[in-house]
Amino acid sequence: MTSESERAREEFFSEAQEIVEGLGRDLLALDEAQKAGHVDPDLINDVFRAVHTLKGLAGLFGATRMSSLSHKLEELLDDLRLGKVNVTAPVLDLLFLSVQLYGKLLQAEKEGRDQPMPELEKLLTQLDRGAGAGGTAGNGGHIIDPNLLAVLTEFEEHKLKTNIAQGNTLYRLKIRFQLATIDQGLDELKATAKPHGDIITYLPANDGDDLDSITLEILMGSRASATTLRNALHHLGVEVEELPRQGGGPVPAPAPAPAPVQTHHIPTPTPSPPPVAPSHAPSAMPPLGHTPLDMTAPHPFPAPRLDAGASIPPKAQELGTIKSVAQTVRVDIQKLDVLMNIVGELSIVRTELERLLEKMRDAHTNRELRINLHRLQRDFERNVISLRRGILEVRMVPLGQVFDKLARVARQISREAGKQVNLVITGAETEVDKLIVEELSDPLMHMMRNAIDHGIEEREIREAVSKPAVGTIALNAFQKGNHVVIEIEDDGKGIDTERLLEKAIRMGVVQADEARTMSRREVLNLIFVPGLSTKAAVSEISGRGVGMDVVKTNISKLGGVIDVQSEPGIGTKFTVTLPITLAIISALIVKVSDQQFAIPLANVQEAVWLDAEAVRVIDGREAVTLRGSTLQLCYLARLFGLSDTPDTVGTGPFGSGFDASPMSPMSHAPGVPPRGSLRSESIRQDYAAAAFPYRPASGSSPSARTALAPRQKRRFIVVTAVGTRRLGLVVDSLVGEQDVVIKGLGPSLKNVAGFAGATQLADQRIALVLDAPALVEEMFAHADRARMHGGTHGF
Amino acid sequence: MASNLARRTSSSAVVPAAAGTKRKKAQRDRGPITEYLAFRLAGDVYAAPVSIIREILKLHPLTPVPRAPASIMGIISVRGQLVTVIDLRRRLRLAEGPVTSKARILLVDPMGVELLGLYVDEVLQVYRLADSEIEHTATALGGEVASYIAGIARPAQAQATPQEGKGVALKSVGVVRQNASVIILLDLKVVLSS
Repeated sequence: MTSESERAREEFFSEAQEIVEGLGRDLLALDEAQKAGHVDPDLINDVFRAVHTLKGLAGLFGATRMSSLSHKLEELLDDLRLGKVNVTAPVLDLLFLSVQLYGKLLQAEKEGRDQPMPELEKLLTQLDRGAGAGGTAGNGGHIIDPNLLAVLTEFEEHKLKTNIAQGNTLYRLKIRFQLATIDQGLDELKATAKPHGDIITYLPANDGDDLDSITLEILMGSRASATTLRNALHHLGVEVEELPRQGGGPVPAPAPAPAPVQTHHIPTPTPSPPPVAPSHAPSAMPPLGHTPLDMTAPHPFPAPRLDAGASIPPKAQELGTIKSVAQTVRVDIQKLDVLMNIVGELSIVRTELERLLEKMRDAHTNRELRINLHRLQRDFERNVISLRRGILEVRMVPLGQVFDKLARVARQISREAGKQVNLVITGAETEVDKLIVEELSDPLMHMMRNAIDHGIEEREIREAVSKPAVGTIALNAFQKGNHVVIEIEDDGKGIDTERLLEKAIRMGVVQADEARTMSRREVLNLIFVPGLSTKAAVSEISGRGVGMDVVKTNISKLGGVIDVQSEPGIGTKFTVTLPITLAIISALIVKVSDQQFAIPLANVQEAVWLDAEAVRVIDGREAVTLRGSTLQLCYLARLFGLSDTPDTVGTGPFGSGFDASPMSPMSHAPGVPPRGSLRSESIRQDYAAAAFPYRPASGSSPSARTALAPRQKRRFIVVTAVGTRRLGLVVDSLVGEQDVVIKGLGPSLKNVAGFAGATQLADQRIALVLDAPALVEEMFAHADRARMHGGTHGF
Repeated sequence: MASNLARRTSSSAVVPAAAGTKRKKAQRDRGPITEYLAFRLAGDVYAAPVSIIREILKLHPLTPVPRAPASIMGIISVRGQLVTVIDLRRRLRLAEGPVTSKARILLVDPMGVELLGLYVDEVLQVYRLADSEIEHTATALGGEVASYIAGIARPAQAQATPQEGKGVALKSVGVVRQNASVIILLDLKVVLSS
């Protein structure tokens, strides 16, 4: 039972989370609209609805703080909706603040914490005050026909009043829709009419008794003249009639002919397909607004619209949410992992089947049977593959989720920093693995902060160098092969490389003489070194103790790389390249001392034959020259403390012969060399003096292999590249390429560096997946230091 | 997959009605009863509460993890899930004999954060131990006792009416009775958190 209520709770959290995210989006749109000077009442209504749903949810789950926040917000929003309070920047600030607080409250609720939240109290009192502070909108004192008022909801009435107050002319549009295409028709009409004015209400008209069509009368307020409107809407077959001012006469005629006649019009109440995006159809009364077919049901049409705050029929809202739930299913990502595990098992069954088939072929069994089985096996294989693809697709979410968050942050920061920033987002629909999206938001957030805080200059400075006063930050995402690229680009002042270098020298990261020979690119990359932040005075916004080094680490944990470009006075661009999914990767399977390892192909540049003669020892580390540049080597067997003689039997992991053999596999454990030992004399001799026949480093022709003395070990260099750094991993043999499902190692192994996880290979054996970025980092952390003191080796 | 073992052993323990009532009476005298799974490590008998043991596995092919702490034997895959296997002998600093076909891996999740495999030399049997049969280490041994030892049991009654948990390998019950004069009860939480 508990599990059921827990599940319900989880549902609550994910649903609330979703609503809060949507709320943030709507607020951003509202913010835009407010800046543009024209606030779309539909938008406010969307926000109101979201908060209302949240209130209901919170009440249901006893999240009292959330529901009291929702309640207060609802009051404010209702006032906004009804025009009692104007949408202003301070009001929007309050709303944005509440979105933030919702996030915090949800988190606290989830963790079962109940600590006091002073900011909530503060917001609540602000909301109390804010409700009265916005300044009220006048309604112009127009006399409106009571007949008309009787049919309108309060919200519609407000819209009507606003239109009158703005001096807009009221029009009655008449249009006939075919029932089959009414949804498209209405959408088209709305889209066409929108630029010209505000649709106040839709009312069904009673004329003719055509069973296949329906005529709607639409009340609309517009600044445009009747002729303009007529021309604009002419192609849709709309009749436009101007209504006299001052409420003279029978404004919208259809009032006397409500529901019953409609029933006649639509004999079979075939439910119209729900509108694709609810935000497109946001009238206060959804049944009226976008699904006129619903009017077949006897509606409480002219009746309930009396007291404030209850002008949205709760029923209709519930219907709205049920619809959205029915079309999407929220799934815990762990459940997908379980499914992925099963697919993994199925793949193993598949290989087993293949093996059996192979055996049957050798055994000369019934040919027909064999062919049938073969066909079956192929079908099975195909289905397993599409199942796997399907699961992967489910894990994909659009980057828009993070981008929305970023846009909110950008708005907040730019206000705090007193800078005007225009955020341009492209490619928000680009899809990435859910887990990546989750992990991405912090690094991106930090970069966004940097861009606004350090990148974009103060307004005066911008104007002084004749840049547009409003800074621009472009957030682009696009897919590139198996990767997704995200760019954050600002048109600010660029990174001050001189200051960066100066600081790096002062901190001892770079030697002064070395600094002279460093390329601009190298200097820029210093920004990823811990502790190097260009701004002398740490500002309140970026000074949170997180540097670009942390950003880089987080990105590389996701298997991604980050790069920076910057031009002084023009701007800075950070480019993040990420794999699309973490669940499945292509990997190169290699063998080291009889143990198999997987190296993500994303990190592999090439694999070449190792020529031990070509190995040079420079300052204690081995390197070869490959394609004209130096490649540092890392002997995996040595790094992992595995036996260096792969040919000897019995050093392998617990194999099939496990029961009989003594406990050898753990004998390697103490052999992990400390970092410093790489420079030790004995190792240098071991490898430098090893008697391998001479061969160029890149040579791996078959003839070269056959020339080997039989006892000699054949080894390979797998060239891994992370960013601009390359490292040659020396392995005993290459097994092949394979798509593997990476599974994380348990918490008990979290301190073991160098592995990104493990994967089950087709033969049931487990191979550890190398964490190439970490290995490169590890080897180079050392190398960097060596390089700085070196330079005498003439490389 | 959740403690099949516990269910199986407890249900098999209530079979004869007469014995059941007798036991109930005995239980009242001896205090609450806990079931312990006994296993052998380096020749000695240890036990841990059955309730935390999810499953007993034969030895899987193990993949050693380089650079891992010495007491970690490697990882195995249990129905697609990766499980870290810990060598209890190393954890407890015991002697390491050869691995035989009797060796087993106990799947446990004492902390509720990670499913772990524990290597043991041999799985023996399930004991139902009353509190009164357990000596607490402080009184039994005095002085400083390793904190992972939860107690010591001398299960006289339990040996007289051995609970033959059918799901558990019990090939060597006879041997057990001779050797199991002392059972060291382990506090796995302490063992595994160190």
